[in-house]
Amino acid sequence: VTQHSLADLPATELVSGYRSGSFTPVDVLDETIARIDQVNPVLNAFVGLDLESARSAAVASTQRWASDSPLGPVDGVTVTIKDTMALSGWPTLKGSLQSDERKVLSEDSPTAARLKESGAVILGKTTAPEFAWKGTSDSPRTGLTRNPWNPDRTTGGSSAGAAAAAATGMGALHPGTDGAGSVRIPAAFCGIFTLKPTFSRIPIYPPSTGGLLSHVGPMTRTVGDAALMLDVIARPDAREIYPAAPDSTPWSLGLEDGVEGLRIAYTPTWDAYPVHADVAAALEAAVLVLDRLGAVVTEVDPGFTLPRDDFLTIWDALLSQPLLHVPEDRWHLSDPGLVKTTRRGRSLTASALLQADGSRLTMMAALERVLADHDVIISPQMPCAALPLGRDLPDRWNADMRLEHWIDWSPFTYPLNLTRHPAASVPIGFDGSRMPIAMQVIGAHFDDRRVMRVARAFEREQPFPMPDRNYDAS
Amino acid sequence: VTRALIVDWGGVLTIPLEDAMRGWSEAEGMPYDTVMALLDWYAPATDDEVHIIHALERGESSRGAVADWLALQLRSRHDIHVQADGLIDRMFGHLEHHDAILDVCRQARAHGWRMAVLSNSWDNPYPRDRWIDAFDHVVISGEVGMRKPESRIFEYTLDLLGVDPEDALFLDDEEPNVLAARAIGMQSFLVRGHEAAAARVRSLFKA
Repeated sequence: VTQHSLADLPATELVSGYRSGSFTPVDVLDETIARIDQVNPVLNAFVGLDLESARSAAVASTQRWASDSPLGPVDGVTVTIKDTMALSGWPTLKGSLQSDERKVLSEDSPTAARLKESGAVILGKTTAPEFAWKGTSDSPRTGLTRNPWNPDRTTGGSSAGAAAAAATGMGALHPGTDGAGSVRIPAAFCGIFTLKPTFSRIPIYPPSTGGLLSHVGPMTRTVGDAALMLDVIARPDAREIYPAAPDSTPWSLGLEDGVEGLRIAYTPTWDAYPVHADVAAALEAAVLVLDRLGAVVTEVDPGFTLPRDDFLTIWDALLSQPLLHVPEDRWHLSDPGLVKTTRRGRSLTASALLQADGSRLTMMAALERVLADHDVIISPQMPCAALPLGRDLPDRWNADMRLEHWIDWSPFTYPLNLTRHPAASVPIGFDGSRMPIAMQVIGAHFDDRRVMRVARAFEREQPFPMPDRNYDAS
Repeated sequence: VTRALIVDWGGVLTIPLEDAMRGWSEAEGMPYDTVMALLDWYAPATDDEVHIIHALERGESSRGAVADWLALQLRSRHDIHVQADGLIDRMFGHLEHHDAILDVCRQARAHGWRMAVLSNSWDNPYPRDRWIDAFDHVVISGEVGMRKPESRIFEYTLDLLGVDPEDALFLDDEEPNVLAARAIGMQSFLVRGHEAAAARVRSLFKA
């Protein structure tokens, strides 16, 4: 039985409640801690919690709201920080036993800094696989993070804990990082919303292991919450080495404008990838919803070859970096898949890397051809629902598919890390075992707002349901 | 004419490996199938992976490292929590001595055969006192930096014994090793039941 709790309210409603005096940040924190106590022992979403600091922040925020002087748009809102991002007073452990717990940072990442400046109540740091190298949820340091819809499934990753926390009300706003799909995969598998914004729209510092593939994105229960979060974190930071042009337009502006007349390119698959039948059916139905809402939907084959091998070359080169600083006689304490990645990466030549980087051009050209005649592109977000827990590869659902590396089951995510287009994961339904399915909405560079608008139009028509959290019964 | 006998240790001079591994898994609270899937020492070697058990068998890793690794895989992927300290030592505690094949080794030696133990080690001590008298040579993978089923370790052992492959008989409880020995021309028996294997060797004395 789901009881109504302040922990379930989206951030937008928390802020109106604070403003009207219906409840305070301390009330919300109390109910959020109760929620964490209820579900986190099963889901394991956190590397660590600092509820004492959270309480001090909530008390201070309550006082500010009482004198009608909030620090910013998310004052008193409960948030988490993914443990790939710097948070002062904490080490960044990145799921690895190779990281030094004693290396406590004195500097915040831009995202943590903006959230703090705006008065957010930081609960703790969320889990990720080792150095965020893969799209599932297990790490040597934190073990398994479980899916809120079925604890025997993975949340997906790498923003594993952020997705589990978002889906269950363990905080309202959750930043993730995405170098190959790391916000979109867990959002899709856990039935929440996320946007991988245009590259560098949200500043990153220190630079991510994912280098020029990496993006920060909001992970939330509603599209409106992502917009609110973007108001705070999509702001310039002097430390970002590839800064985007500043843009202070509120993200809520135009969010409710709907899809009437928008030209949507519907791509049921890419490069003839065999999408699972349940996903294909859910996507078909979602596209009909958009059509009914007045969008002009055209089915399109974008006509490119998946840049799988080129992407893997770049990925291996980047993700080999962390372990190359660790003596080889300690590699047995790392994820075996990351060790394999490291061995492949360290034998690559600079020339091979540059050649692989050329895939950005071909991918860009292919997507821009479609975007020339369309406002957004829609694709499946994932070709399947969440994998069984603890595995890097799912059971094969098609006899001919290539299934050797985790990116082989995430063909709709990594190409957009090469091209840096904005892409949102929008929950659209469930598969036969009641696991969430999502569509991906892709826009032109810096057209993130239109992507959000399409997502919001769909959400208004078909709000995103939340899991019932009756884990004890199972 | 057979002039030499080369025998494996674990599963041949001991109780069957499966019995030991099952006993160990149960005692540690680990699902047997999960443990075997993780250890998977039959896996072929690949270019971009160093199999931790292969490395251990070649003496390039330690039983402590492998215990840490196994405990980590069980914890991080399966939510199974085991005591890493001494985990591999406790496994060897389950590999009890078995006499049937050792008896036939002693008889073979009495017939003038050249004798060797050829074992893939896991950084483990061997109870040599129990059987050293029956052998001319003991070849331990971790000491020579080679492992079965690599052909070079068979060739190394044959050189020590001073016999040609076709004059040597090899007993092992693992099929890939038996096939590898056969591939270089040795006679090989797959041990599936100690008594049966002992009887087959004994029949060669009479021939």
